[in-house]
Amino acid sequence: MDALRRAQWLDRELGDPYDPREEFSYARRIEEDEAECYPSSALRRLLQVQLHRYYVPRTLGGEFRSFEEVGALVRVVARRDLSIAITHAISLLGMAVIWLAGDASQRRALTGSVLEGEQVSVALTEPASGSDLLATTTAARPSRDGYHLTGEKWLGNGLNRHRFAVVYARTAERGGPRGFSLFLVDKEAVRDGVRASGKIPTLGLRGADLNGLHFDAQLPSTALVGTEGSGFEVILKALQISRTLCGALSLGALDASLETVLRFALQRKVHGEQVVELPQSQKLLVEAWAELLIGDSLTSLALRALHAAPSQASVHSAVAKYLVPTLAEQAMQKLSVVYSARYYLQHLDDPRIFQKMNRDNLTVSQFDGSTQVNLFSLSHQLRSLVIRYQATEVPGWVHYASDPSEFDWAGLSLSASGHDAILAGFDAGICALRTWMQQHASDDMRQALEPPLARLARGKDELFDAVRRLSAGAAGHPEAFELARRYCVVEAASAVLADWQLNRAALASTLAHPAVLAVVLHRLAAQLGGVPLLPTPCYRDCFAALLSRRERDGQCSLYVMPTENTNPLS
Amino acid sequence: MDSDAKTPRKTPPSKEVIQNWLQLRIAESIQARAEEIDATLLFSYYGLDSVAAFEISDELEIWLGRKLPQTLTWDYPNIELLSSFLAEG
Repeated sequence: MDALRRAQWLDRELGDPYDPREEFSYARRIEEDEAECYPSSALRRLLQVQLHRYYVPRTLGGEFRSFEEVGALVRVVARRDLSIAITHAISLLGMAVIWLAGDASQRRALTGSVLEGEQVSVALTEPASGSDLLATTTAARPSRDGYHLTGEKWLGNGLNRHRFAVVYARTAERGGPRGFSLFLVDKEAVRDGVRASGKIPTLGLRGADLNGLHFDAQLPSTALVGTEGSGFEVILKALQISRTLCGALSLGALDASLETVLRFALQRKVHGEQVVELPQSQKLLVEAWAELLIGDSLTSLALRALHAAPSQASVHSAVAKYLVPTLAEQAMQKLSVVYSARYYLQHLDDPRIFQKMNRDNLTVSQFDGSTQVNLFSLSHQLRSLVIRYQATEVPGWVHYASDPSEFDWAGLSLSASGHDAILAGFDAGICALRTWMQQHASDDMRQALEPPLARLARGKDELFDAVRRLSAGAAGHPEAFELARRYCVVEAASAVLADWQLNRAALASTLAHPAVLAVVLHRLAAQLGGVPLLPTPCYRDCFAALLSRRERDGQCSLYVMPTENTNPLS
Repeated sequence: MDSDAKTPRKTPPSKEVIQNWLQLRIAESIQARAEEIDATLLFSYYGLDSVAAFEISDELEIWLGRKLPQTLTWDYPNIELLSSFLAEG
């Protein structure tokens, strides 16, 4: 609960979102975003509350404790403005590169800069090569006592703003996975060799400064991060961390969207009835909520797993990065139906919040490895994951009160070697829920829970059978993408069932409520197809739980916040 | 994957056996015959990019029953080099 307590503190620090005098009010955020204005004063506010300190390991003078805590904090910022959360969190990727492979002096330089409130940008992508890192053409060739860096980087967040940039460049003409390296470039030291392009206009993240850099610069040999040729390996590992955190970004945007539409639906009357009294509105709202809870459970477990099972992060990060932003998009689509014409109106604040959260969230599926990139990389691990699958009990680290172990940077691995601790608890989760249903559930509730549960259990068996039949070399084919997608769904079901088993005390009025669990499992099963609708009373009961959760805690996320008013910094 | 791949082994097989396994595995992935696979050509020539190479490392781990570096195919980028390395145990 430490992570949630700290999130609660940050939320208070950011002030009332509906008070336009507050920097982090929705009114201010929309105003700046629509004017495509860089959020300088909002970022200064984050500097005042020292959010950046939670990104830096304690051994280097920061306050970092766990990625779950970082996730909880960036989600709070994302709830106000996803664009600012992304702009601020971009430093995490650059820092991860240096913690993973940098030497002591690079760590000191970067840490000093970050602790003073500077951000670090990452120059990874290029106009012609997109996500294909092995097609990178920006090159660093040996020259004098260092390297001569030439080429153009493009579509990076804050590339022209921040002093330090982590730059990915080709160091061997032939390329290949050992043909690229990372450099920590102090732009102040090579000022004449760097030319910035202007801001690139985008559909979402309008206030962010997405731009490009053109390099023709002499770098000292000390700019090289790690060994020459290690760049591809290091960036893939660093992306495992940022991809997992992307779940928290999308969840923040969905939190705000759900709240905005709920506020509307509770006030609005049509045909003499409140919108929230219409069974179809209730169904759409609770389905969107269920998608939020699924994303929440999966993201929380994937973030905890970074500490408990870092060698499996290639799988967990791909699953979270694919599924959570996608679920958020699907949930927002349902919310837009309830919101009706408000979805299009631009003269009122609330619809503009919803519109901004929607367009900003669309970008999460694109950066740090797009949805398709993540499914593709997962598809290559499917065969070993299925061959090596061994059902176990839910691991103890799933418990919300378990202390995260110190993060082991050296523990990250390019492939999970067929191990997935989240999925391993799937069978135990199904079994535990069935046992509970026999002992505690009413007939009605059993009838609601069993069909989606059975569909998910069958879904895992079908998935495993299909993967066993998958030929070598099929990984890039549409069939393998679809199996990877199904793997993500089954993994999310496993996360939900693990949470339900171990964390029920922290899930009052969310997963611990049988009707909520039924809707959550139904949303998961619906991703696999062929599952009947739930009985209407189930949606009604779930909706009552949603309102009660919101009324008691002022928000609708998965874990129930502690009520004591603790300042973690005191 | 052939059924042998599911049985962990105690001692490393000979270079020839490993070479044969790799040729079959690559042939399967590009739908060719094993004898068409040249042991001296780079894995990337057969379209086995970086991520696909992890898949082969994982499967080799299962077959050989021992932990292997995941960058194996990057550092030993063709069948000849990789099978020599693996046969040394």
